[in-house]
Amino acid sequence: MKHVLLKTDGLSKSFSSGGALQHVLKNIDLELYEGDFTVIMGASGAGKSTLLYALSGMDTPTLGIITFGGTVISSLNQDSLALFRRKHCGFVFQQIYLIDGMSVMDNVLSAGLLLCSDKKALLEKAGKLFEAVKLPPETQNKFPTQISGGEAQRAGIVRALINQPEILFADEPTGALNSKTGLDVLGTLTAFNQQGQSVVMVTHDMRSALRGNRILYLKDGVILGECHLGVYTPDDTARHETLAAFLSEMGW
Amino acid sequence: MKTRMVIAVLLLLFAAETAVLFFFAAGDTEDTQDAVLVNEILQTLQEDWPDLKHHRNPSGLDYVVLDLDGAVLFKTRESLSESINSAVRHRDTILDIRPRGTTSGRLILHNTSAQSLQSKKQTCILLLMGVLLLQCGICIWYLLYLNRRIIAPFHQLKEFSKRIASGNLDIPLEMDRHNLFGAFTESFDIMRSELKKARQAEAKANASKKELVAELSHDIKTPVASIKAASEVGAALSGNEKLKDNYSQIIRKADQINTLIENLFTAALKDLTQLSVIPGDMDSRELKTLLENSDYLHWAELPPVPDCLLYADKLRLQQVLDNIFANAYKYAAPPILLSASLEDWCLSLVIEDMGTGVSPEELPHIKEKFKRGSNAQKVEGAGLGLYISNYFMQEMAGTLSLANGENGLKAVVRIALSGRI
Amino acid sequence: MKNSILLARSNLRTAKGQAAAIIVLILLASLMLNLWLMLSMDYRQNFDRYHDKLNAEHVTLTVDSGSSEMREFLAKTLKKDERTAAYSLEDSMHTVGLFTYNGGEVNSEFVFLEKEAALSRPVGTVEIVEDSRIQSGIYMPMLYQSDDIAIGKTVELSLGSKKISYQVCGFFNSVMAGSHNCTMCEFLLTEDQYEKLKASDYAPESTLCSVRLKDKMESENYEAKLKNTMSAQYPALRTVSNSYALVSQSRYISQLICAGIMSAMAFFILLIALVVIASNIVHYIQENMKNLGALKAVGYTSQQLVLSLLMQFLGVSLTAALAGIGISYTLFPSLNEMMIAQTGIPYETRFLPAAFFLTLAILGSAVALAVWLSSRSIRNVEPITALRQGVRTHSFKRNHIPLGKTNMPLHLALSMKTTFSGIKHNLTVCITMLVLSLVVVFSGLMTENMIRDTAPFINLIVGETADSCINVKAQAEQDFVRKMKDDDQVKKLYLYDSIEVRHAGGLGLMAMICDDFAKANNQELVFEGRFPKYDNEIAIAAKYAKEQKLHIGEEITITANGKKASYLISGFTQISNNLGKDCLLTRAGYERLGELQNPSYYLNLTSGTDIDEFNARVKQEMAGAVNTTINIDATVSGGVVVYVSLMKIIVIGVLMLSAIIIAFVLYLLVRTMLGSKKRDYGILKAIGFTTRQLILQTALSFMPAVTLSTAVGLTVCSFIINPLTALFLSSIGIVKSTFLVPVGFIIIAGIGLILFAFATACLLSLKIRKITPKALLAGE
Repeated sequence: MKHVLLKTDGLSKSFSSGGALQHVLKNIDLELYEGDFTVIMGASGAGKSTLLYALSGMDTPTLGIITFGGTVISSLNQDSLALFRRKHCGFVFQQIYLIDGMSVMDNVLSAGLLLCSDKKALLEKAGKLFEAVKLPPETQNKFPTQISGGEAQRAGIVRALINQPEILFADEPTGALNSKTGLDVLGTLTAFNQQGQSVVMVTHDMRSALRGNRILYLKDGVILGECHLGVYTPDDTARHETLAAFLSEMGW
Repeated sequence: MKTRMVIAVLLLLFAAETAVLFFFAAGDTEDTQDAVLVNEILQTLQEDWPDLKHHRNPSGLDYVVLDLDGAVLFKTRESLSESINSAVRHRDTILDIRPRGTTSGRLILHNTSAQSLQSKKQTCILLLMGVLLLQCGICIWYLLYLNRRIIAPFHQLKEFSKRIASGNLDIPLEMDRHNLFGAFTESFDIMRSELKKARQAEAKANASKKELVAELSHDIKTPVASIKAASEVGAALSGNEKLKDNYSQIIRKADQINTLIENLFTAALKDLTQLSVIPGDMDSRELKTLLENSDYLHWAELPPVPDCLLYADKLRLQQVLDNIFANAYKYAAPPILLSASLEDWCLSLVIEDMGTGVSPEELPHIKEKFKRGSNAQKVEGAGLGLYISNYFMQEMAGTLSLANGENGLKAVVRIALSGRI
Repeated sequence: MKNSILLARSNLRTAKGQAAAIIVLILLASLMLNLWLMLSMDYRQNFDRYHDKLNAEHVTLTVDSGSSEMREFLAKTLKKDERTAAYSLEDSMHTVGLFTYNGGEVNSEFVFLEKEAALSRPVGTVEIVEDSRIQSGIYMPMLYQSDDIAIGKTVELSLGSKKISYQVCGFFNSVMAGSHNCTMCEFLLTEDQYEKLKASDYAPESTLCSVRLKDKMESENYEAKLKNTMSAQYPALRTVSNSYALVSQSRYISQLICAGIMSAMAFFILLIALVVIASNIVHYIQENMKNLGALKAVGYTSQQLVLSLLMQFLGVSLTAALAGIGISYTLFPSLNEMMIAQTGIPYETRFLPAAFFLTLAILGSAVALAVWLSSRSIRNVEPITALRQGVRTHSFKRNHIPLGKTNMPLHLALSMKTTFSGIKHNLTVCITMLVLSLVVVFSGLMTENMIRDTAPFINLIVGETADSCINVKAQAEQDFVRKMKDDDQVKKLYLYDSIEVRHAGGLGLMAMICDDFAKANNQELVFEGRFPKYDNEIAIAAKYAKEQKLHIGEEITITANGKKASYLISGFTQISNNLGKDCLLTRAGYERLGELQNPSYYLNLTSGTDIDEFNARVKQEMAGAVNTTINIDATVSGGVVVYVSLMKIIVIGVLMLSAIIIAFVLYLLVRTMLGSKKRDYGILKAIGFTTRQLILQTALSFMPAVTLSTAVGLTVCSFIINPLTALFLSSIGIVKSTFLVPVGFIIIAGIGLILFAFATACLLSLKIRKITPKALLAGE
């Protein structure tokens, strides 16, 4: 039995748009396990990103409870949520969202220094992570506008992991990238997952979804089904077929 | 920006040079003697006159005091003019000393204009030298700077355009942040990336066109195949060629008509669809308002409703509750027991009144059309309420069940949870 | 044109806060500007109007004799001079006296006139402004109307050594002799009281002579000539005189100061408003690059776009300016009241078209220039590049503070990054803070030198002060000096007298005579060169020297008592008392021209001595030898109290204004910053920064510019404030100001300014609370 990291009970999220209430997530009961590479799939508008942001404490749910460890995070205020995020969550965004005014290294350090005041240890850690994502040192001192999207996204992963979060949340990390750089980023995520990093990734791209070992299919704010895959190995045709079958069953 | 600064500095230096020269040329007027200081010397000398032993120089000026015979009475230092003649030659100032109104001696004030001119000259030359050196330095530095920042990058640009010409679009143009024409080189790089994008887009468009054609052909194949199969069967059953054709056509038309009639038929069967039920997502917190609306006599105490998202049509659910509460008001006395709990797929709402309930024989039929309980004879009603309520609940993917509870009739309304149907 | 109006309207709608800030700044600027223009354009003219209304004289002379022989001579002299237009001679009584006013003493040459006679004079008439039915008593100059001096109350005048009390019947106004600033001060007595005073020997009989000239510019020369003629003919008679030039200047000193401060503030605020407008436009162009490109693409020309901005800002500014002018008219009466307390000349508030249009023109052209200069970059916007999304110009940024290397705490380092990235913001902050530092230093200077310790100000305005001044008869002088030297209560005693002399080929000068200037209390009096030391030396007023192109080391000829002597100029003085027409002579130096008649001695008393008691004692002990005694301390503080209260108001106002301005500028900057960094704040919040940390960062990012410019500003201003003050006061004869710069106050005020800026920035950036990481998603 895997250790449960994050648990939701009757999670619902509603937005009011133009006066009408829109229910994006509906009574979702979900458990996320440690070490998993969980992939949340679904058509656009299915509520994937909303679910991700609710799970990660970026947004508070309308109804329901989210528990992380022993803490209920769904009822925390904004500042406590910020503290929660900095400690337990890492984020990789589709738009990458590095701060343009800071060099790549500073982007990473600005997150890292929030928790760790030992600059030397932090630099060492950052160095290792940069090495792991294959970003050469000269890139580290460039500004986000001066590097390619793939490089920026890998820097984003470094920033997300610098505080050794329990969960890494990735919102379509390859969405803004071309296929080759996208593969690099996916490879990085897979590698970290295989070292034990729990990852939750939202995607609507099957190639990305293949990386996960647990696929959740979200439709109209409801988890329609889930599919378990084994450990990822490249060019695993059986895995591909299983996933394809699951997705076609879900109406993908 | 930098160019402007260099020009500004050079202009500034030029202005400084001009100022120095101008100062030297125009400012070289004769320097005046400090008359007040001289007056002080003269006055103190007159005070001290008979005996100059105690005389102290009250100023920083050099002077010699002679008596009327030309003998030196006082001097501030050596090598000053000590006679009227040498004083005249040196352009020194000669004043009469008149204690008590009679001329008793002469004061020779040393002329220092030659020295001051000399020192002025020296300062000017030094200043000019400094400024010129600075100018030279700036010019040399700027030349080096231009070489590094303009000539060298142009060489780089040459290599870049060679690569582009050979069709290699992957290598971006390295840009130096100090580059003077960053925006210019940037546009080259934009050109490269746009070219690359255009090529990729072209390839992609070609691929998707092919896919569409393949899919369509597959889709069209299937109905064509079935038409073909049907006509083959018709042909097998009949020997007449013409009849064969007509026969197959007639069967196809009949099938179409059959489908249409079937559709019509199913639509007609559902005579109740005019009471449309459009369930949607509803926050469980809204249930409270619905219950309050129905229980206008306040017979029941509102229970806590667990937070969840319900799948219901608010209007119809209100009607269902209205109906149940109205029945309770009609057939029972207060209070009404109300409770809500979350079940696996639904929120169940239990509403129990304090009436007599329904007899066990009637219970299974109570939800049927036009059925009324035996105790309802004296009360007005058509006997449609529970039937319609039941229909509503079913349409909302929920249930309505009725049973005799401990106190009276117990209605259980199960409202489906959104996403759990 | 129509298109431009549409554009301007849409711009305004999207930037309401911006418009509000500019409106307030322009409002303040126009308010001050208009007040300044009203004060400087019309107040002096008002004096002339009033002067003409009362057919007032240009030269006033009081001679202590009522003899008809003297009057005939005087009349003959006046008739002989072709510059005379009209004159009037009146019976009067004249003596040196004092009375209590506003807690201090007013000490002046009192001239008593009979009420009806004064009202019927053809030249130099007086106007009763407040009357009552009291039949017997005194009419006081309107200037002295106060709580203690009011109709029905009793006022006590000290005339020489005698005291006399009158009931106040009313108040009158006299242009040339209605204030202690005019050298002489008239009082009107009812007939019975006049006769009573005449019967007593309190005040000698005298003749008041008022002369109206054909050309008022001649007043000073005419006065000097008349006085010389009189003193040559009657050397024994005491005469007092004034001239139009002196009075018109001295009655308007405070108005001048006030107007000066007003103008300085107006231009400071205008400068800040312009900086704000310019930075807003630059920001607007940055933000709306795409919109501008789109507009250009659909056919708007650069001129139209610039015009729309111009209309927008000009419209807002001119509307605000109109409102500001309106407010200035509502504020003017209270300012006017304050001014009238100083000038004693009533002023009717009226609409001044010249000031009105000038204010509008100044503001309009300044704003137009600022807009035009800062919106030039619109011309460089090219539709295609601006519209193309995603093409961001590569900014070759330098990493000013690499987080990996700096030793700064994280939040400080991050805010420094922000600081370095916003040079324009820093510039705005710097200019604002530099201007405000000047304001702070000015307030500090005024607080220290005028409010906390009035001595430096008094020294500057009055020249020499001591505790007591005793005027003795010439023959008793030796005796007096000997006695005073033995007195325990006397700390220092020196001769300090003033006598009018004449610069040959120039004007009449008031000569301050001292036996040894090394003894004088105010050693700052001579600010260039040195005090005269020998009998052939003289120090003259710098203002006069400048007018006459005299330099230190040159010789001038002075005439008095019909004698002539040359003096070497040893230094320049600055005293505003005689409006820059005075000189210093040693006693030996003066004695080359004539003997001192009744010498005045200045005395410094030991601390704790009651000056009035001391004066009374000396007078009693040396009865017959002493002419008058003056409590200088009380006299001076009575005159200074109005300046002090005026300055208090100015200092408080100025400090409040600075606070408002900082708040405004920071508000604008924070707003712009939050707008442009919304995305960054969202990201930072997502990775775990709390609102408080971000607020702190934002506020801190302004601090380097604030701190640096405040420090530099305060330091520089501390050095230039004295020359500036001198420039400011140059019209009253001040050439060099040696006010003490209160370092402590300025440091504390500077720290306060910085802390205030920090607190304001924190408060204003509370808006960060509303930025959520979720907004990142919404913005997708």
